[in-house]
Amino acid sequence: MRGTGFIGGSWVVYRRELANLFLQPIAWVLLALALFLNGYFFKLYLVAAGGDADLAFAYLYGSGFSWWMLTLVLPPLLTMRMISEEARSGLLEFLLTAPLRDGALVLGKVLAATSFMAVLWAGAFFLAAALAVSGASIDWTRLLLAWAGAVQGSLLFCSAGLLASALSATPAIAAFLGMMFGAAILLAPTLVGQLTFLSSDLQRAIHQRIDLVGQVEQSFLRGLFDSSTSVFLIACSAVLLVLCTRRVEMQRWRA
Amino acid sequence: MSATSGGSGYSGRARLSSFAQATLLVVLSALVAGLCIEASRMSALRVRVDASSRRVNTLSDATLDRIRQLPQTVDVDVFFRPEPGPQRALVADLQRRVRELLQLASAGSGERLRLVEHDTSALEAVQARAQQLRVEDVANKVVLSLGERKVVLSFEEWAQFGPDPLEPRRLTIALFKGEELLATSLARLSAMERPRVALAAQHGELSLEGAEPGDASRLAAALRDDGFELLTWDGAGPLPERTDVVALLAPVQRYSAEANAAIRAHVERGGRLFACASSQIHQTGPGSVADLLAGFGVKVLEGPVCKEVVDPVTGLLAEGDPRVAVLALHTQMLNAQHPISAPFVKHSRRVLFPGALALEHPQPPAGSAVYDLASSPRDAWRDSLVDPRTRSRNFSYDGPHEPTGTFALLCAIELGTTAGDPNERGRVIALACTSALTNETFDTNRDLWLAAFNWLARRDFRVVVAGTDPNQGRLDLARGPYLERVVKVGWYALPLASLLIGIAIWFARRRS
Repeated sequence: MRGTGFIGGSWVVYRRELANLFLQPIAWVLLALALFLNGYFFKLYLVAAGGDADLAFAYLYGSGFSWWMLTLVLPPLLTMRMISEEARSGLLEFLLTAPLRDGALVLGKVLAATSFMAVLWAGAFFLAAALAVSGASIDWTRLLLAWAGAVQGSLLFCSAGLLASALSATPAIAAFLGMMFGAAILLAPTLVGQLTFLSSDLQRAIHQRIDLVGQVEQSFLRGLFDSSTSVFLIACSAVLLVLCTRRVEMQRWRA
Repeated sequence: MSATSGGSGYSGRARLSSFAQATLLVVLSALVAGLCIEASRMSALRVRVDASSRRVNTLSDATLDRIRQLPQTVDVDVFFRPEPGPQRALVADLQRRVRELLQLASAGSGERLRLVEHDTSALEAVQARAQQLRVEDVANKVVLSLGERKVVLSFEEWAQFGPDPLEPRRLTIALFKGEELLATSLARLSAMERPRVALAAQHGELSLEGAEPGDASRLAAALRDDGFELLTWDGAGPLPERTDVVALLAPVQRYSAEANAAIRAHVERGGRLFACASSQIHQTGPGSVADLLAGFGVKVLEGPVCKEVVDPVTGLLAEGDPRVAVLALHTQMLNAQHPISAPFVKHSRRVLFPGALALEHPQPPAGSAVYDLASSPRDAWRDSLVDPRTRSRNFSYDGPHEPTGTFALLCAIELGTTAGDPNERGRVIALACTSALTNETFDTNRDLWLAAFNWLARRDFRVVVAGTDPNQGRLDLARGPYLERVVKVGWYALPLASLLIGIAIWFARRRS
């Protein structure tokens, strides 16, 4: 333990990263684009769901195409510079010599990126409010839970993006790598089905445990809080963050 | 960590050590994460809370009890496939609902339900499983199997379909019966005994064979599906052996005095009776159902119970029209306490009683209790007057000659309430409404009669009623301003606000 405590250190890094994100015009342009896509898809979903607003919000927060598209693309774009660019510019070296634990540094960064995603997903509350003003009966608790699920899912993808950023010295490559990690997370359950040497029961058991889309759809998106889904998302994020921390440690030694 | 003083920074040994540490860390962290994930799936540690305001993720206690009481794990094989054609969206919607229900039931079953959703594009695997289950055609079916026993559920069984209330040219799910169907199917699978129902015959009762709207073949089929064994009894001689429930389905002729005595003795020694007096031919006197029910303290009154209705076309009161005798009974008119009718109140379901006669129970016999399960609305009247010229009823309110108020239409009677052993208490369901049992009203009343027979058979735990209208809460996109507001907020307001903030930050940074 050196200097600032873990939480305090995370908080400092979190504030700094959040300011970095939200004080850049490009972040707001990105947010505007993502919000527009959300609004555009929400209208389509609402029509496709025959006016069932709960179902349309479930589509928006994970059952539909738009959420996964944005989640695959945005977190790596947000996190790509967080470590790789700082390592290139020498800022990371400066940070690593500060009285701050590596884990706190990583945690602060990932939470900042996740917060940005949380703001993006919160756009759906405005859509829900617009419907409520028009007389629709919105299931707010279900919507809130779906949003919480979307944020936890984003945490996982931000963690993958941050790990990619730690692995690569070039932000563009880090972004690409982050998207590949994200795709791997999504496609892993499908790949398990191809492992023919496993028994079908074992395949099914593994599939159930790593099927991110299925787990989110069967819990948060239905308005059902399931602790096992939360544990799954947080545990997977934690593994990626531990690896990321380890990578940063190695950079410290090199420095 | 040792480092060389050379340009590369690390010795080979240090690199190897670092790699080993990293690998160990990866393995350890993955292991810990795996353990956490596995532990979180254990039912003792798993927390599941239904946060939806419409409680869409909560199964009824009856269904959960049914699942918990399963003797072994039941395999649930789902063979859904996308359906091409105009009903593609409807099929997809129903498949989604069924999947969600089965996933919910499986997750809450504590390993009692093993759900397997088959990829129907993998033909070989599907055929192999179908052969294993010994089911020829599995397309769009759900197969529940418990050892050698199995129940095959066709796609259409999961719901009732009807015109979309928001877009009448389209077909939609009018009633999703998933939970009730699942509970019934599990009950059938696990049934160790089959309650025997003796259906009285040859006295003008409703036909159990014919498929006409006025027949009761759908009721008979539903009872068989629910695990009842149906027997016929011609009303002569003793009741069939081991009869659990005697059912009198609106006979238009009287039974013999011996038959009535046999039924009465059956109930008094703890047997059960489903007695529906004919509402088409009101019979009294010895041997009639009305006479039988009078012995249990329930009197059948003459004249169908009517209620004023407004003609949907003209907007005028449909006075003098037989439609006034078709009573749709909603939650306020159903008993919220009794196990038969309580689920209907809970799920805001209605039942149909066309042309029903009223029941009265001024003084139930000692040691018995009578419960009104369904009653008419407060402003109903009994159309008791018959036009002497036409000898028919006029379906109009004829002033003080015709009684008004609330009339009991369906009663549950428990006899021998003082008996210590509940198995010695006779149970009777009484009504006088022929049409309520027929194929014509069966879609609406199915759950009520299954609940009633299950209560009679002391299988109260099987009383499961399909949930509320699946279209509840849907937005009328064609009429309301919903889409317009979504476009205003989602397409313009939010992105523009975000862009404006971005521009403001850009200006602020330029100035500084």
